[in-house]
Amino acid sequence: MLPRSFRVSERVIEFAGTVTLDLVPSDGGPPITFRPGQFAMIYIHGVGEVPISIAGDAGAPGSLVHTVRAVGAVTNAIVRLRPGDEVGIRGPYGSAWPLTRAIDHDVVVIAGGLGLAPVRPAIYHLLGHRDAYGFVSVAYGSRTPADLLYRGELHDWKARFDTNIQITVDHAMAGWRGDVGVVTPLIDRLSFDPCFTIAIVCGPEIMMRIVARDLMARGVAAGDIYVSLERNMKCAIGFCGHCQFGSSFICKDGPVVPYASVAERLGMEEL
Amino acid sequence: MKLGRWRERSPLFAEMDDQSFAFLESIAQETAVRENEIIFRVNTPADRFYLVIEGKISLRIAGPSRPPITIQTLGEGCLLGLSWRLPPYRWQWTAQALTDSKLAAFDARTVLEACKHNPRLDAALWRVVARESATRLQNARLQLLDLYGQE
Repeated sequence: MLPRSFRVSERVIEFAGTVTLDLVPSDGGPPITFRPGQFAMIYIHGVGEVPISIAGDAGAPGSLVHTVRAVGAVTNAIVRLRPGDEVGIRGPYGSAWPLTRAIDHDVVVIAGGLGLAPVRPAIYHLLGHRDAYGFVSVAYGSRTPADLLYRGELHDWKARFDTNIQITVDHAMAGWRGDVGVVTPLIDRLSFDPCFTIAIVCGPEIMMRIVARDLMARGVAAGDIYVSLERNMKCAIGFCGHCQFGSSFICKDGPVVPYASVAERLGMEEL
Repeated sequence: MKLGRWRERSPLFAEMDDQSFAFLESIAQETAVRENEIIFRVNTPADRFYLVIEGKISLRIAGPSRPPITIQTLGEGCLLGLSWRLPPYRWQWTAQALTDSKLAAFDARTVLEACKHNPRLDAALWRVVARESATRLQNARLQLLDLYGQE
C-alpha cells in the first residue's frame, strides 16, 4: 500500500488541461511492469491520490505513461507537474484487456474522448504482434479536432496498411476534412467477422452502452465485448468499497470487464 | 445506373422489394462532384436525393457571425437528403463534397409520382426516411450531451 517515488521525466501537453506524463522510478527500484488496461494510483504529496489508466507500451517498460485531464484537485495538481517533480505511485492494479484471448481473432478497438488513453497499450500490443491477430480496427471519437489525443501516433497508425483507423469528431469548424458525427456509425466501416471478434471499448459509459448495442446488432456476442469502467476508486485493492458496483468492486474485479457481466447494471439509473 | 452492389450495403435499399429497387435503379443518374463542390444549398428546393457511391460529403450550416459548422459527414452507402420527402421540400443544410465523390442521384418528383402508384415503394421509402431520421436524431442528442467534454 505504500507508494513508490517516481519522478516526471517528460511532460507533453495534449491540449488545454490535458497532459501526458512519463514517470520514472526515483527510489532506486525497478520499473513497473503492467498489462494493457491496468491502472496505477498517482499520489500528489499533500493533495491526494487518484487512479489513472496506464497509457504507455507494456512491451517497453522503463517509464510509466499516464494521460491526465484536470477535472479535480488532484488531477489539477498532476497536470501542473513539471519534469523533475516527484509523485507517489501504487500499482499496477486491476484487470487487463483480453489480448491473449483475442489471438487469431479480429479485434475492434473503439474509444471515445480520453478513453483512447486506456486502450493505447492494447493498440501498441496489437500493432507490435500484428501477425497474431486478424483484422485490427480502431474507431476513435472526440469532441472536436482540437481534443484529439496522440495526434502524431494517430497519423502514423492511419498510414499503416494492416490496420483500419477511423476518426470522427462531434463538432468541427471549417478546415476539418475528416468525419463529423458520433463514433457508432464508424462501426459500419470496420471489417470484422462478428463470430470471431473481440471488441475493446473505452469511453463515457453511455457511449460504451451504445457501442455495445451496435456491436451486438452486428453479431458480436456480449461476452466478446470488453469495456473499461470508471468509478470512484480510493484504495484500489477492494477494501474501502468506494467503487462498489453492485456485487463487484471496479478496482479489484475491473476496470476491464466483459460487457455481458455488467450490461444489466450499466442500464440502472443511479447505480 | 447499376446499383446492384449497394443492394445489401445501403440502408436506402434495405427491405426494398425487387420491383421498387429496379425502378430506383432505372432512374438513378451517376453524378461526379469535385472536392469542395456544393451539392445543394440550405433553403433551396429539395428536388433530389442521393446515394453516396464514393467519397465524403459534409452537411453544414452557417450561423450569424461565425464560419459554417459541419454537423455531420456522410460516406459510402449513406443516403444524402431527407428533405425531399416532407413539406416544405427545402434543404435544411448545405451539402458540400469534402473529397472528389460519386453519387447516384434520384429525381424527387419522379420518385414521389411513382410512390402514388406504388404503395410498396412509398412504404419502403418512408421506412428509410423514418429510420434515417430517427438515427440522426439519436446521434444529434448524443452530440448535444457533449459526452467527451464531461469526463
